[in-house]
Amino acid sequence: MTNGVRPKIFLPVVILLLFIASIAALTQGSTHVDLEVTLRVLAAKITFHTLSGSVSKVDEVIVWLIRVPRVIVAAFVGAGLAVAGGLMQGLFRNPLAEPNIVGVGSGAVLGAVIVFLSGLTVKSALALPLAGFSGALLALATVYALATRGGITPVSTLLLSGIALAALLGAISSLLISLSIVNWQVAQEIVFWMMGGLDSRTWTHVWISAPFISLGMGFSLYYARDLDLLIQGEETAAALGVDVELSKRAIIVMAALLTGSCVAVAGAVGFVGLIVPHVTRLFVGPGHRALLPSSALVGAAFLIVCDLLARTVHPPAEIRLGIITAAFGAPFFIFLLLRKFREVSLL
Amino acid sequence: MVDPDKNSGIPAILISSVVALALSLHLAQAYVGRLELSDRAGEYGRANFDTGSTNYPREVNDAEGYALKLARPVHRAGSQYWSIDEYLYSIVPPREVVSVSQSAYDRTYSNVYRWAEEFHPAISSDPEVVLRVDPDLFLVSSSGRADFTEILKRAGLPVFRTYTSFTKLEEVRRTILLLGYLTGRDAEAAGVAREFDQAITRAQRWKSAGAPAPRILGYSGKYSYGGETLFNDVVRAAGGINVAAEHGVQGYEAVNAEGILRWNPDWIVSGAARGNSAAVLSRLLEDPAISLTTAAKKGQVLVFENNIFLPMSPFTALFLDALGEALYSPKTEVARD
Repeated sequence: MTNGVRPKIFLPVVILLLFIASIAALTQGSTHVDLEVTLRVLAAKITFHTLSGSVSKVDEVIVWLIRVPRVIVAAFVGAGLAVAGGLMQGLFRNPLAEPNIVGVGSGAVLGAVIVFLSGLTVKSALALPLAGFSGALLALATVYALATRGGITPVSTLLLSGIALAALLGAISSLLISLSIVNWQVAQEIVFWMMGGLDSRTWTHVWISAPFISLGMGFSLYYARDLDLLIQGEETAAALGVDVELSKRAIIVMAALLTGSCVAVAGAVGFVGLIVPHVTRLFVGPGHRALLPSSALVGAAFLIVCDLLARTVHPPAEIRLGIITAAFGAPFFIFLLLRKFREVSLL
Repeated sequence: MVDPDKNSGIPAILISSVVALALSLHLAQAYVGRLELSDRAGEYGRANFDTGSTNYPREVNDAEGYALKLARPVHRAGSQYWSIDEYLYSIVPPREVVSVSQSAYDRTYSNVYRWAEEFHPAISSDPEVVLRVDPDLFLVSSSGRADFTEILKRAGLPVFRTYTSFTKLEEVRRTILLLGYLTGRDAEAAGVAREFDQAITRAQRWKSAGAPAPRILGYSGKYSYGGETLFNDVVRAAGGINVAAEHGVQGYEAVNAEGILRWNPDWIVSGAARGNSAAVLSRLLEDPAISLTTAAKKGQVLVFENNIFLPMSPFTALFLDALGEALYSPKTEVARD
């Protein structure tokens, strides 16, 4: 595969797909809104013009307060998870690595479960994303403290600590959920949230997640070269001037920041971070300077389409987003495994 | 080689994390069962609706402390929660209920599915759908998530968050009147409240003076119904003793075989999906612990259909009547389909 040729075709195609997916997601939903009305609302809001009387207040509200923030959150979450996945796969030199591998997703889930049980979610729309984000950061700090020895953080120790912490946090979440079963409505809310979803997402969720995800993606690009060198091995990277420990630390913190921000606003949406970087790599090659931004675009388009399916397959009920992504992701994961087995048997 | 001195911070972080998690667990568990906005919004439902005033505008504080102003009587009411559906259909003409919870259509426990099937109100699971049906008043459970409510409020919809986890019959009665006041159906609500009062009175009259109070265990899915539950108040109204509350259970708590044997209730009362009562009854009687209780030995295990057993609405009257009859009528049977 020739790097530099395919990205030139691939990126415009993905941008076009992202645009089409966004328009489709804005015009389709549990109720009908004309494409023309959607575009007029968007144009008026973006240019700060007042809408004419031919657009109803309900259409305006549905497009601007319900669908637009939802599509933006989907795009950010898809992009964030894809970039986090790309970072983790690069750092661990393993195509099966995914963003939650160091336990941040489990931390976010536990944070969310606690605010569900405390009743804070009924009082403030901010409670859930903030708790999810705090849980993710706490989990990251704990994993890092566990894995760091004498200022050095071996990747394998980090990985094992992350797996152990994820199991522990998962067990605590399960315990809390089992205690909450008596309040079936709360238990139902928790279970639904854990399946991932973007229902009832507002501009508040955009403002909470967008800065952190943008920051995480921006800094990821800064470390793209280091990641390319780290793939050659830590000694080689160090010989070529990479501050290995600093880079590893920064990459993991960014991946965790991205994952925590995404889980905080969308719940546990699996497989995006696994399959998107992998597919993107097939088109743009392994270089992270092309891979990370391309993955972000593909992830955004992918999650917008998945969310569109989630709310249109069985209206007015919504299929949980995590189910849709898993429906794509699980077969792909098996395909990866089988391909890996075949490669090994051919050696 | 690892220098142990450089790892001295790790135990501290670990201990801090464990303490933080334990504290979180404790807090979360302490709050289980007290999830609503209740007892924090003291102004809830404050309105002069006892006067039967027909004046507008009306202003009522909801469970969030939000003051809802209504300029005129409501002709398009929406609901997001199954027990609110039952209040609305009891008070408002069915054609004026424009959206309901998914549960309203569920024949296994809804008391209002016939109206839902006849008038086809929208299902309120999606804010877009709720906005499309354009209700004059949209009622949300106080235990519902804030983000759903926030979208509707931002869209300018008149949203009222009402309590739904009732623990007293009086709270049900008061909510009937409150929803009557909110919808402008004061007279209809007063009528429903009167019928509800009559059901309570009937339940109280079943037990003859001087007769021993039956000791009753409310038991469903391994959980017992303790004090501070509506079941407890129904049992009290029917002249019984709630054995779980008697043993210090507050709210809903899991009870094991040993607990059931120690409590040894005279009666065990449970719920089942519509048409499933006989199967649930036989399963209960096969339970080794239950089979040894006085309730089982005397054939006093009662299984009511969930549309009778579960409501926290005017339809709780069904349970009051059914329980009173089951406990005191000489023709008591073990399964009630």
